[in-house]
Amino acid sequence: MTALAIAWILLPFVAGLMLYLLPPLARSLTLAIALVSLCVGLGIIIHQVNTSFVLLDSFGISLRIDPLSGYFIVTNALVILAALLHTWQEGYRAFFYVLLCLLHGCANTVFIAADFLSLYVNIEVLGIVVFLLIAYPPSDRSLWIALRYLMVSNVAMLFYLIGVALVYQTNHTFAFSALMPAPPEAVAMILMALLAKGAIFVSGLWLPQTNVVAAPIVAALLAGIVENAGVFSLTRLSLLYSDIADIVRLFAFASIFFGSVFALVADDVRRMLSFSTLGQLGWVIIAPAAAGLYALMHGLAKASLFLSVGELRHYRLSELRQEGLPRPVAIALMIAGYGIVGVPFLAGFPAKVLTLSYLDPWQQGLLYGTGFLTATIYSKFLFLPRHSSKTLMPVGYSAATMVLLGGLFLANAGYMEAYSSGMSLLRAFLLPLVGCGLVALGVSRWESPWRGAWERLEHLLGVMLLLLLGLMGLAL
Amino acid sequence: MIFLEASVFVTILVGFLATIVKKNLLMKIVTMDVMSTGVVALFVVIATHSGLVTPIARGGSFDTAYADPVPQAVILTAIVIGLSIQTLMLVAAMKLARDNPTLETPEIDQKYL
Repeated sequence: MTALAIAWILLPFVAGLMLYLLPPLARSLTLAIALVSLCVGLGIIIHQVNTSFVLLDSFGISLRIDPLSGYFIVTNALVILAALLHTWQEGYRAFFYVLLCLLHGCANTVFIAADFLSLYVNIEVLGIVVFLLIAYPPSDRSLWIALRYLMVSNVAMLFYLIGVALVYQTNHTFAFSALMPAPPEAVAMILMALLAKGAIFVSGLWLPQTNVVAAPIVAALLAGIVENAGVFSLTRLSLLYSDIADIVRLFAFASIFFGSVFALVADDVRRMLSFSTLGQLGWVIIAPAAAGLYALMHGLAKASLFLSVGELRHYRLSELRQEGLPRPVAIALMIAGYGIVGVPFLAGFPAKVLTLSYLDPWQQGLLYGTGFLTATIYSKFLFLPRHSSKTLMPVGYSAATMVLLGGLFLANAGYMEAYSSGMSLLRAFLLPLVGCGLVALGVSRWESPWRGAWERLEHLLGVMLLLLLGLMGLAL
Repeated sequence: MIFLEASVFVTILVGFLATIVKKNLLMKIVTMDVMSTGVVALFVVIATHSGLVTPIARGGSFDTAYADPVPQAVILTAIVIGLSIQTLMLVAAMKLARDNPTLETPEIDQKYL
């Protein structure tokens, strides 16, 4: 078992480095890796594998595989698969596929790591890969955004390292399970870094502009894989310690409100989706026991949304209202959007029901209220004019969307019990109705081109200090 | 010893605050390196809590107060990662400098955001 797990972790790295030497094999090797991971992930979920093993001596370097990791691994594999199909005929260089393989490998390792050290190494490598992906289209603007991302993530990870040093000092091990006797400042630093990497609340403000500048395919990878890797360890730690779960839940609520409100007033469709990501990641971490299904649903839906937006020629909502959008893209946007809203027959519905079932009644009420905001955001797509496109959609785009939306539909199997409650079905149908009503009443007039100063580099770094102080207060 | 630890934390704090205060991109990258040096030093200081002797067995007794080898080994990984990130950032700064010769971050932010 241990040997198999290690072989599976190593596979993407070996393949990634090898396909640089064999460029003609790049696409097929990446395909093979994605399929292997998909099978592994599904196997873990179906057989309810729940195992952990220590790799090395007594420093707590260990792996833990359970259905929670299974869901994240399946998301990872499906998004890579979609990215691969999308770029199959576009003539990307082998270097791009090297990055895809490394991204896949690092994310997989994050999803089964159970100690702070493996997590650190993999998140850092993930950061470097993301930097290279964002900077892939050669322009100064993407280079600057990539640099900003790397700087923010590296400073966050330095704080994380301080936290890890303090954890080791206290109990001479790096295992997740050894966090609690450590001093509160260690907890605060580690949480702050993970919040910044996972794009939660104000520490996620690097995300909107990154998604605007990066290529749509990279935005899809960010939404489907990178942010999931950031929040995964937060859910792991929440499951282990109830104190941390309380702090994380607080940030999750803040993120849900913050993201939903700013998504409502964004004038650029990509910024709207990014702010909505901030909110949805809050949903992922709010109930760690349900995080797997929610992350799967959100990763697939958001990746599909970003790929669809990539097919548009305009990005401002006001321009889209005049110019309209091709019918197939509009349909994909609506399905994925309402998937996130939680309309039955798409995975969003069981995911939301499962998440809510772990919360207190007042929390359920609050979250249900924010559901109307989300529904309003995605109902905007319904009101955009559509025209039949003269040219066919690219085959790659269609195939990728099929995979993602198919996954979104099949993921219903994760929690079929949700459909047995008439009350939640009724509520779920109410959401899009109210959303459409609000859009019809003219919520769109609140859209503004405002870009907060808080998205600048200095402010992104400064916010970390504020969060750190806040977290220390909470942890004490 | 407490003095050593305190100066390590001061280094980290100064490095971090300087990444916010300094406007120039190159200065930001360098100050980030100062912060990372502080973190490396913290690991080394933590390693000395159990002793100061280099952890190499020289035959004979094992009761000598050896320094803990684990944090030192761990931080080696972090140094390598830090180095590669530093390099990447400097290369990016080099490319950015063609169109933004002053490399003042507020101006670049204004231009590209």
